[in-house]
Amino acid sequence: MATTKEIKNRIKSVRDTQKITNAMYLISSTKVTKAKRELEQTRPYFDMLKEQLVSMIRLADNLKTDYLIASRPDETALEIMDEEGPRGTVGIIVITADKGLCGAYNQNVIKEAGKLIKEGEPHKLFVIGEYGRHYFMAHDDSLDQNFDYSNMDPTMDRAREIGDYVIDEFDEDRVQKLYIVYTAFGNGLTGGAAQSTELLPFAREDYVLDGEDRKKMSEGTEYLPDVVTVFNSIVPSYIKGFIYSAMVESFCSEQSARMTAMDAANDNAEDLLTSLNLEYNHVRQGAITREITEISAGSRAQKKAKALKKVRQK
Amino acid sequence: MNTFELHILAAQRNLFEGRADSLIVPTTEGMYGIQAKHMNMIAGINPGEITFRPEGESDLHAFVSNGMVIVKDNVVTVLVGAAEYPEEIDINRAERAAEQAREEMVRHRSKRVYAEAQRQLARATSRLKVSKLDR
Repeated sequence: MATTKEIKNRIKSVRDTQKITNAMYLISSTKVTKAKRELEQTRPYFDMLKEQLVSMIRLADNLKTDYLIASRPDETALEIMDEEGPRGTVGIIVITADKGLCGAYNQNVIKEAGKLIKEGEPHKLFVIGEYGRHYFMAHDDSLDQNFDYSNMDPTMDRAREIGDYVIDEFDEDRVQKLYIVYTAFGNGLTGGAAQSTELLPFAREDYVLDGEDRKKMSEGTEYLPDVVTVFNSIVPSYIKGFIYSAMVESFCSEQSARMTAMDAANDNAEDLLTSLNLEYNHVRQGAITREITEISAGSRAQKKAKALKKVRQK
Repeated sequence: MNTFELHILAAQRNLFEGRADSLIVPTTEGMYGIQAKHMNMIAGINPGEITFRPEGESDLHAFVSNGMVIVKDNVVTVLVGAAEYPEEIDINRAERAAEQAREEMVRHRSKRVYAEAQRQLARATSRLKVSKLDR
């Protein structure tokens, strides 16, 4: 059985660890609040932007730009195209955390990204966050090495840089499709679920309107200088906005995953402390009892010896 | 005087919400004036100076970056990446940004860096211009 000193040391080390996990829990919770507040401030702007984008796609039949395709090829069509050759490089933005200690958060994102990567299909990975970078550096050779961003503190400026980078990749035709894999925060109770969304190009079929609604919406709006220019000028803003909100959502999910993980760690530490304390008390009590027994046995022995002596003297 | 509803929304803040008499925005086609009952219109905005007159007050100036202006049924919405009043502009930062952009542009590294520097320079110079205006 361990000595009291050993158990005491153990208890101290568990307590210290608990202090760390507790601090991490508190830090995560304040970070979530801050990031959420910043996201709220940008909501009106992006809601409006999205609305305009959608109505432009719906109304302008003659809208022809690289950012818009008529329809998304369905799965069967894909196979036919596959036989003819590759259908272009797929660019994937993957948002992971910089460190672990947040449950299955990183694994879920990486798994989701893996679904988009098909065997033998050219793709290019833009990975945000150290964890994902390390993973894909070891497992995938199509990581864009120049793309080096972290998701420590999601800001609009950061999202703008990232947006400029990936939109340029698309404009220069180095990628023909652009996806983003992130963790949606949802209502914040159930924890985030990793998901992927297609950013570019937009498919017109997703936005088709029926005759009546169409008529109502299309009443006289003039575009200056023309609809294509305006559309092309707001697409980058929209993409950047989407990246920003994806970053914030991922960040919130990461922090809340970490909160859950740290909370569990705290509870575990608490359990461990209880059982260690019990063991410590056992050992200590055992030692005391043993000492008492030894002392009383000793004194009894002495008493006996004295009594024996007296008897002999008589 | 006729007024219209004006919203100036930037990515991280609402610069102005309320009724206004007039608005001048730097569209991609040049400075463009808007008053009440303007026809429905959508136009792109270049970085520059925006001037608007809240109802019954005098003109206000502000800097705006890229974005768009939407006029619909006498409601005017200005959607821009960033918007700042003259006294909020960090002059030192803008000067540094302009300097950096000029340096970047003579180095000819890549098309993307060049284009980004060009945009940065445009933003910085219009920020500096607006910062010299009185509100």
